[in-house]
Amino acid sequence: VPLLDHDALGSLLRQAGDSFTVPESGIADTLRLVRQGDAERATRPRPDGDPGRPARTGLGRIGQAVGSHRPLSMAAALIALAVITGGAVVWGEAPPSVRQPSALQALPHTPAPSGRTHANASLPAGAGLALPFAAAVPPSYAATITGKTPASASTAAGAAAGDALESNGALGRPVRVEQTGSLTLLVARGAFSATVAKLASLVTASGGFVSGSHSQADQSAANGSVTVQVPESGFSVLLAADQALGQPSALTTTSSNVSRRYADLQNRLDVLLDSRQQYLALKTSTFAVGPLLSEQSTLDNLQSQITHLQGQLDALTEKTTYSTLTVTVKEAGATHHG
Amino acid sequence: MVEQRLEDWLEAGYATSFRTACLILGNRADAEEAVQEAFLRAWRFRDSLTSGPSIKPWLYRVVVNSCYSKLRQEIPHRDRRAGEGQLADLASSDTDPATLAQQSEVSETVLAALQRLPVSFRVPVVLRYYADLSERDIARAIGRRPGTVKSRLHEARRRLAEDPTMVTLADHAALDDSEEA
Repeated sequence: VPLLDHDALGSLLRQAGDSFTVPESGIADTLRLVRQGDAERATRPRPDGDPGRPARTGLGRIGQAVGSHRPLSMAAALIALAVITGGAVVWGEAPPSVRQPSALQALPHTPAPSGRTHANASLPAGAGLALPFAAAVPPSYAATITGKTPASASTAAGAAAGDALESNGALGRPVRVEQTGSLTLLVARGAFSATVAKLASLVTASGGFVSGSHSQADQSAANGSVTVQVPESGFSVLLAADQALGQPSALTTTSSNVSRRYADLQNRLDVLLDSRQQYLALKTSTFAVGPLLSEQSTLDNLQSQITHLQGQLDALTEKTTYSTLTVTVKEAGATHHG
Repeated sequence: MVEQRLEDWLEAGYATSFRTACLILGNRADAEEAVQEAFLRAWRFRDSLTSGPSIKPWLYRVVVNSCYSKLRQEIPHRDRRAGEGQLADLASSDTDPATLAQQSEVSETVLAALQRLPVSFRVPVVLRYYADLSERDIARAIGRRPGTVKSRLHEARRRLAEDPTMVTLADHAALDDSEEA
């Protein structure tokens, strides 16, 4: 079989290779990028002590291990599945007397914490505060909201803890409750303005603010409504105080536990922020135009999702930080139109 | 001191690495990116470098791996049949136009023949006949045994000999070499 001559092939390849002009700025560009990369790595923490590789989070390390040991990972997953399945079978076969109730099972039944608690009452004229806000939610739940421990039995504290476990959506995170309420007050003729002024001063004293108002007057009497935002912890106190301003005729309170939604949003945001961090780290070590553009596009997409989630989280934070109360004030004999 | 070491590496190896990558990838822009990535990677993992005569194959190993990455990741997304003029980027020189045209023709023919070789044959050929690495060093650079390198080089030379244009060019080159000698 004929072969190309060694020397001739060498000569041809040298000629072909030398025909490429070496980029003049090639060395300088590479040096600049090396310095830039070194500076960035120097400012970045390296928990694993490896100066050459980007820092990985726990999930990143697990992902890397799974990626590089795929058969082992699959075997481990199968074993874990078998253990879980076996455990479930053993649990299912155990006699009821052997089964140990969990902390949550031992707790008295409480309404689904992620659900909405709603109370609505039309009060007869002359009645006092027949439906305090605390009554609209389970006692343990109300205790968590107001930060007061019920003075009843220790089981109440246990129930509160269990309830917090169920309702938080994540351990160690505060319960997030969205509260709204509406109150209708009947006041004496000519007392509308004074009542609204007192209401405003009560709201300001409790750290809230008036977010909207509406009033109207006809020949006989005036009426109107004031919407206020008060800190979540002062909601029930304000509600009680407001009722003293006149004669409460209707009261509606709504409370919705959004802890799980809040925790979910927070978790999704954390994951996205972590991904963005990893992409940013990757971007600093990528210099090819193609991958760089692709990473930039992914980063833009991540940023958009982060902004969207952050907006939802901010809105939810605002709703749970401030409770909304709408107080309708009616002078005796007035006809409410709004 | 450390910076100086990097500059030394670049001064000593950038041009050869760039042209080696050009011959492997057949594209100047890809080669530039591949070599830049290779030097960055080499610098980042310099702690794993053992000093002495093995620096050269180690550096070539990084360059070759970078070229492999380019071939895997990017070039499949493009039209790999490079058009005329894309492969050869002749260095401007004071050579007369006739010689320049002849050199251009030779370079384009050689590059086209190289691109027709599978990567597994192309890389050893370029490292052996352009970068002037020994078979042992090529084996280190591509992570194969010296015997494998030997057989691949043999097969590559056989395939290149099937190309009549390459045979003619090789004959001319051999003749020129003997005249110079």
